[in-house]
Amino acid sequence: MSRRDQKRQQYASMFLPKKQASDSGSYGTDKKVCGTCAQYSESAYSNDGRGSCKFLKAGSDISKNQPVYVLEGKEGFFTKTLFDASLCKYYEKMRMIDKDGYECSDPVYRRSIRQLQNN
Amino acid sequence: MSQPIERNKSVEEYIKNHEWWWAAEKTRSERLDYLRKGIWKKGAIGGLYAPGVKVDLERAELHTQKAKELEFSPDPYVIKFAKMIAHVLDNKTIFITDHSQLVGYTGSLPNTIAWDPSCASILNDEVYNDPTAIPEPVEKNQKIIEDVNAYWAGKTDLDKMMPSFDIEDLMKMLSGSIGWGVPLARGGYSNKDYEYIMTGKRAFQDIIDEINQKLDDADEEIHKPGASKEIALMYDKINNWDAMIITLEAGIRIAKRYARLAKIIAENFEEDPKRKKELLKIAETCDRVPEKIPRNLQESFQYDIFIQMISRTEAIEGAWPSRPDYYHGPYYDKDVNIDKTLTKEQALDLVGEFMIRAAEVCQFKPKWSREGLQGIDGTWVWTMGGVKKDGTDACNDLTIAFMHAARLVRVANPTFAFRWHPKVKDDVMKEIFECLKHGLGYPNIRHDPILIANSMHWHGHPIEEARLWVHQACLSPCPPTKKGFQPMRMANATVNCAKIIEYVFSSGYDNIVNMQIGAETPEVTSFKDFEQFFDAWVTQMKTTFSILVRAVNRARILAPTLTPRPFLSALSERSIESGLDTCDPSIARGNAWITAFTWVENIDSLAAVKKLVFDEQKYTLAQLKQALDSDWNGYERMRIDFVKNAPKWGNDDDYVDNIMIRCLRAAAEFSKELKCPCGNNWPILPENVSGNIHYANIVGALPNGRRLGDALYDGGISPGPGLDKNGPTAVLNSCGKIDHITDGRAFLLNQRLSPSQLAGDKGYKLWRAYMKTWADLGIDHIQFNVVDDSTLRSAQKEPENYQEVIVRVAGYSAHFVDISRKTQDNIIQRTVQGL
Amino acid sequence: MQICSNCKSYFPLEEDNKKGDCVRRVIDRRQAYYLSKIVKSEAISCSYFQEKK
Repeated sequence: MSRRDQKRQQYASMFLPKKQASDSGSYGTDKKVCGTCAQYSESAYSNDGRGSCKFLKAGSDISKNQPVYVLEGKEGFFTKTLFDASLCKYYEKMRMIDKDGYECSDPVYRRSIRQLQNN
Repeated sequence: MSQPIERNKSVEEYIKNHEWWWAAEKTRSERLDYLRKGIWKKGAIGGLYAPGVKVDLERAELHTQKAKELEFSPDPYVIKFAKMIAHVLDNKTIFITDHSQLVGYTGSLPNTIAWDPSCASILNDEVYNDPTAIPEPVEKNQKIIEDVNAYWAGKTDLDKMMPSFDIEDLMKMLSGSIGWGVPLARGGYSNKDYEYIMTGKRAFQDIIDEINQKLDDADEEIHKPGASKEIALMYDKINNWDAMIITLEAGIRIAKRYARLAKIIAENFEEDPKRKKELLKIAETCDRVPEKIPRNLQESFQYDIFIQMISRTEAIEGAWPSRPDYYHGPYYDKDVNIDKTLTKEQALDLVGEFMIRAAEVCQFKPKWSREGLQGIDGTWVWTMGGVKKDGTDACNDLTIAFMHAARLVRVANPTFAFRWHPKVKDDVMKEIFECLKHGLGYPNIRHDPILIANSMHWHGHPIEEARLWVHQACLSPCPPTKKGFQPMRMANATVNCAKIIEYVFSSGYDNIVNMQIGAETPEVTSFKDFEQFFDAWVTQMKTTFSILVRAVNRARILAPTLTPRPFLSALSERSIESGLDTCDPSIARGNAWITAFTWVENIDSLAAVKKLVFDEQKYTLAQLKQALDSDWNGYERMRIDFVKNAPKWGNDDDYVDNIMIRCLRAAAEFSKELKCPCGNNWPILPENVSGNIHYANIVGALPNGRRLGDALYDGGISPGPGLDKNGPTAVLNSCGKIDHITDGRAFLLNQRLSPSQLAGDKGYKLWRAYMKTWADLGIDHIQFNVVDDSTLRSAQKEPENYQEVIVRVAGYSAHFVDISRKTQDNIIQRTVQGL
Repeated sequence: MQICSNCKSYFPLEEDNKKGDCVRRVIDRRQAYYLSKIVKSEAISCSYFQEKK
């Protein structure tokens, strides 16, 4: 596989526009979603719910019944704020330190405000 | 709960106490007072829109409805798109506000923000996820948004464009770490061919007639015996011309809807005879423009508003390039001085209302835009003054009227940028000074001779065109001429430059967004001398600039087919003539630039590394890297050393000033290698808007002593807050070492002055002396904050009593209470210069 | 049945007798204004319906 193809595979899921609403909507902070994990970094670009994991690396897949954990490598695992993390053994609930939507985003600490509202 | 401030002092008392906003409230007419207080503030505070401001679903639904209807139509895309715009204009809700004389708004109601669902799916998801701006009932309207989003998924401009970009570049751009913007023709900001449409020679019907002639000629051509490549291409031109007419006719129709509404109100609802007369005047005005050429000031302003409104129906516009005193000035002169159909006070009401109409404009923007442009929707930097084509002074009575109106209505946006030249009369300079003294934060002052030369140097604009320049957005000049005007400046070519120095230490890996973005330069600890370190910096600079510029270039090439702009093309002489979309690079000269956010951090960091690591050998690069990787935690003494004992830009110190020159010249040299699709250069332009706050949590620790999360410097070539220790002349001297013609496109400089210093004639003389130094040093830009700390701190405690206090953020002004706390503190930290 | 063309707020278009402007007064927190929306003459009226006299 060429380097270009590898990159395409790696990034492909981030470009698929959502055709269903199933991965939108508020889940509440009691649910294990990537967005409430201490390892999650929200996108610095947009409020559309993208982000990446600082702990898991590219190639990981936590959607399967037997999750795939890649811990080595440079690139972080790209995921979404509302991605179901209930199967991820490395999930660690973040400390909700603030809820002020009028400040600028902090990819490391802040989350899409919807998730904070139920706290 | 704070107590409302007593407002029963006299105007003179308010002026004496520098409470300009209360003085303005008492001085302006009842009409202007009503209209000013009627504005729903649309600028986001930090990341969120203000309470009560809601996304306009009507526009999204109308656009989607027509798109669905046309999905299986055989029309080429440009015509379908023109029909979608026409459908929105034909069916959107319109309104006329009490006491107004000018009409036209992007949304359906005064408190709504227009949302175009066809630009980017990412944006549509942001609408869905927005916690405060979805109108009631939220659950029902979320379903509507969901359905709209589902339709447009895969069909938006960005969805269509993305497969055509390099995927690696795209991922880096979408990380939000190095860039700020989207590479979209309908998601940036457009200048206009004002020389074609605003000089009183033609209006929409005249353009339609011109296009019809073109169509007749083309029709004849394609039916003659014969066939050729030119004939094969002619069919696309015919489609473009057809689409242009569709949008122009829709523009005429919506104006007539306003005319009809004004007449209905006058005849059926309004009882006050004076207001009836005004409404019938609105009807007459909207019946006339934009179909026909304006005849008076009200029609001229109304014509301009309609153009902007329709342009903002076609695209998301992030700026408002304009030269209102130059193009509307002849009508002001005619009405006030020659025909005397308006008194100065009546004209002032129109001028003030024109500003208010601009202030209330809003389109839903993505997070990076809201955070980077806190308090405003986009940078409406209106160009004033300057020279005419022949080089003579262009200032007129309307220039002065705008300054006066600005002090009365106190909107933060539009903001003015004054093109200073040596022949500007003293009475104009006094008006500018009054605006600054009143704490408006504008006009910012531009050095006209320098910038005309700059335009000619970088982009080869002929001198007569260069002399007509307007601000494309905050700072960059652009001629509003046939080949010169820039139809889509994409903010995507905006670089978070602080990452350049960060990537030298991480070999291009971004630890905040967890991906390789910069170049894989050698391990920083391997560098033996400053030259090797600097070489790595240059490599990172070239890499980050190239990623973003490549995307814009690609989008520009794709724009005519994938994201056409039939309305903007209809206002462009080069498009009418050629039949090509106005974004087609082959018919334009090019006016691209790279906005360099967070630039000075590089200079101060390079100076610190050079001094403390290489010259004094006090620390090793390994020690510094460790400290930075730890965000200076456990290295506070070392951090203070890097803050205090390394020279900082803005102190007239050659050690660090020479590094600034070196960095700029490395960028300038590379700018000539980077070419836009028109074949022209990509010079850099250091400035910030509120990107220094937006990026605060995205840029890590740096050798200038900053930690992750600290606000970055406020922009351009301004020294870091509190780091300019040697007074205002030292700042100017540092900035004067830069060649403002050849070292870059333009350079933003913020200065803060004390209100008490500017009192009376003495204050004016001090300021003029300061400005003389600025001009003699050939510095191209300067802007001022003139508001004291105690006012700002009071405004933080009791914002409801300081709604009209304005501050200069960076390339724009904002109401102090409309920006986030962090941004407020950052402005307060800026050094107050003593003149 | 209450239809738009029977409403006080309805003003027929000269060029198309099947459509009209629906004009209403609104006073929000900040300003008062008259709005206009294009409606079909035979459309079922909304909650703001007031019969023309």
